Amino acid sequence: MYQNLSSDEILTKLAQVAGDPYERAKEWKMESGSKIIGCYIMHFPEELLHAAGVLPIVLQVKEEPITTGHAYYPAYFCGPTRSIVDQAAKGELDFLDGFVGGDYCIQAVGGAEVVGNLLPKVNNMFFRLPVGNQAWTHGDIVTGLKELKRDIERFADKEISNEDILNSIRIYNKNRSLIRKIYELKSLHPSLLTSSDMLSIIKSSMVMPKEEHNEILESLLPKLQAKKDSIKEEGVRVFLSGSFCGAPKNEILELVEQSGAVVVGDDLFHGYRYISDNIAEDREPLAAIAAHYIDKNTNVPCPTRCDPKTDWPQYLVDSMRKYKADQLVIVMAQFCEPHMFFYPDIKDAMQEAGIPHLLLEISHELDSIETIKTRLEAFVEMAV
Amino acid sequence: MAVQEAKRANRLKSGKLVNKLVNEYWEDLINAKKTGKKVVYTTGLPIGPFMAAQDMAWIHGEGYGARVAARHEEKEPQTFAENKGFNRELCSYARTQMGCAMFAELGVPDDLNPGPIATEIPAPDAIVTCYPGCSTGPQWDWAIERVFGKKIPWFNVVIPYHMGRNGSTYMKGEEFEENVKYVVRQFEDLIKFLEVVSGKPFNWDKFQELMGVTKKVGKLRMEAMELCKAKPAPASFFDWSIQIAPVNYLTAWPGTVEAMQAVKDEVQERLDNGVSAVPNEKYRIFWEGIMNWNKLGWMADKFASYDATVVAGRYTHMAFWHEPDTIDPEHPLRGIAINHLECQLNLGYPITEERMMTLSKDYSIDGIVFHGARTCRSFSRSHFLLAENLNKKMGIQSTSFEGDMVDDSFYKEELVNTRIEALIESLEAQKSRG
Repeated sequence: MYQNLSSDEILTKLAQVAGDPYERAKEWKMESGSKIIGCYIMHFPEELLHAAGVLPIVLQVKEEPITTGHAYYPAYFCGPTRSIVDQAAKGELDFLDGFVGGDYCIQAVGGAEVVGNLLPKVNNMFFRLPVGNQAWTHGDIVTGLKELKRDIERFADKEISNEDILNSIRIYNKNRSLIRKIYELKSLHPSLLTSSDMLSIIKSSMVMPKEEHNEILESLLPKLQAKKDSIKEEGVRVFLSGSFCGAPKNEILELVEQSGAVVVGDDLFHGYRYISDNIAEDREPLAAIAAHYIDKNTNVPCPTRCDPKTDWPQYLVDSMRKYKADQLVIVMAQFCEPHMFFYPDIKDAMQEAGIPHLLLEISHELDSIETIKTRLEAFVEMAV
Repeated sequence: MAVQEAKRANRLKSGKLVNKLVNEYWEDLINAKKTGKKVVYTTGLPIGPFMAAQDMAWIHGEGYGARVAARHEEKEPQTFAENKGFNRELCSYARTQMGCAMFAELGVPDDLNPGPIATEIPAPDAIVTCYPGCSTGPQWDWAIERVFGKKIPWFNVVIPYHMGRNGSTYMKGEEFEENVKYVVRQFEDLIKFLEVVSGKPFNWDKFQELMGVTKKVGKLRMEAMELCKAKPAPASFFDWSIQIAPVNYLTAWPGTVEAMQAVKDEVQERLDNGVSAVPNEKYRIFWEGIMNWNKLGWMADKFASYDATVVAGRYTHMAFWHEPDTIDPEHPLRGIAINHLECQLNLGYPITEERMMTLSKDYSIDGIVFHGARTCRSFSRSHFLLAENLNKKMGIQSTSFEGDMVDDSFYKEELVNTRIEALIESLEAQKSRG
């Protein structure tokens, strides 16, 4: 059905899915009669949930102000966790059948506790993902996966076979591979897609069936390839970094580009971080998923993983060079502890490498958009 | 409401005994390198005996932050950390220790004039993290590892969150048992790590002896606190906050048994003679949240002025060897794991609520003060749920205010006064209604 649409029309469709992120999942539930599991943002083995015949979706931050949720979670917690609590408090997550929390960040742990309390009818599960990278870490992650598998099997009333998991891995790998191809195109032709387009592609992938998303991407990719040479390239080349858990607001992304920049690469969670690596298809599936958590963190380091063998600042310096980026824009969610702990190292690494950077600390309520605009314009102007 | 500001908390006299031990500990630590001892940085749970068994010194990040703050020296290291790019919304313990560590590693900048405690911290030979229910601890230690040029060996004991899956409850169930085994295995690996760092085989005899001491001190403290179920309470939460050091970074330090025995004896003596922590106890309060170290004395007197005894708290009563009977000094790893796994920050919400309800009942609680430590989100994550559910299920009223552990810039003193006053007024109204 997407074959006859132009790339712009497909991107508009994806933007619609991303803009109302739970609607497609709700439709799927009506169509299939199956269950939906909400994942509390980063680091979840969606493949394992998919293998049980349920639809895993990554819960999304909504741009609307937090209201009802204020009664359940303090204002000095990050926007992504507060937004999801707010959605649960308003009844917007009542369509979920299950819910998986994780332990990678204390604010996410607390948010999941509150959501579990607000949604008593929803099956509340948990994925234990030990941090670090020691000789025993891989085995410990496998144990965490086995615990989750046991709980999902109980929830879905279905035994999950290795073949089921492998099949899901293949579908998810295909999705990651397709999006990486789009990334390759964008890095060579940055004006081919706006960063809001990229966000729509990733975000829609997180909230709709991957099989369907793959179909859309297979239609989109050749159309983008055909279009790439007609695009005029101009602007200061910027690499975007940060924004864990929650998607950066479209307003911010648009401001970056309106300031005269083109985004040539990113390590956003709603970006390259989500699709950076595939899972091996030639290993025992749970061992392969566990290895994926360690490997993808080596390729795109994550500050929540506490792996001293990785070097996020150096990764950023290398990425800037790889993508021939002129400037680094860091988007940090207010109160994001893992990011705050790393910023001094990133700042030092950028200064040492002579790379200009701009830190934007973004509150959920976005109460300083004019200030952000002025800062971005002044920053991009420096490179012109 | 008549406020008798002249009333002051009647703090335990024996509490001062701990000062001597604290001073000895810091003296030993500061001179550790001179005496040939290796220094291990730790954060989180009390794991000192592992290092003590190997004749190594250890510095507990939070304990150090609290000490620097208690000496009113926290501003300079916090400013230094902030100048280096550490956001002031980060854990204030971490910012304080990071600032001190950077004084040690990078030198003191000309525009800062830190006090002696803040600049005395020796550089680490190893880092050991053992953090429950909080992702901040390992991230903080990783930042320390980077400050020291990524050269310091680091061991992270992962304490898995005890959510309460599939019917697992406090110290029971499949999840609990799996977690205990997992932590014990990591302790065995920690021992191998410390053997390498110290360059000698693990001294099990000494470790077992130290865990015997730990058990005794833990037991004495829990028994002394339980004496405060009596009305009026002979000691308060603020006394127990002072007594955290002997069960935290001073765990198994020489003299801790005697010091804690003296505390218990004094509490018993007070009980026998009808002496109370607050001169005219009318209200019994539960303190929910981490302690605010630079406001401890002020808070103690504040509540005393309202005839309110803060009798218990999650911080003091649900951690720090709070399950001493589980420790078998001959085979101590399981008991250590249980105490650490089942501490206040590591429990899933339903377990936390159940424990809070039990304590509230046991200590005849009238009201709860929620101290929302701004930079300890691990503690404050469940405050709003607890306030709502304890009111709904037990009729306990509460108040809340923002503050912090060691960064008093987060305090708005008038707001704190108003909120405490409002709670006392509502408790008074409740009592007058019968």
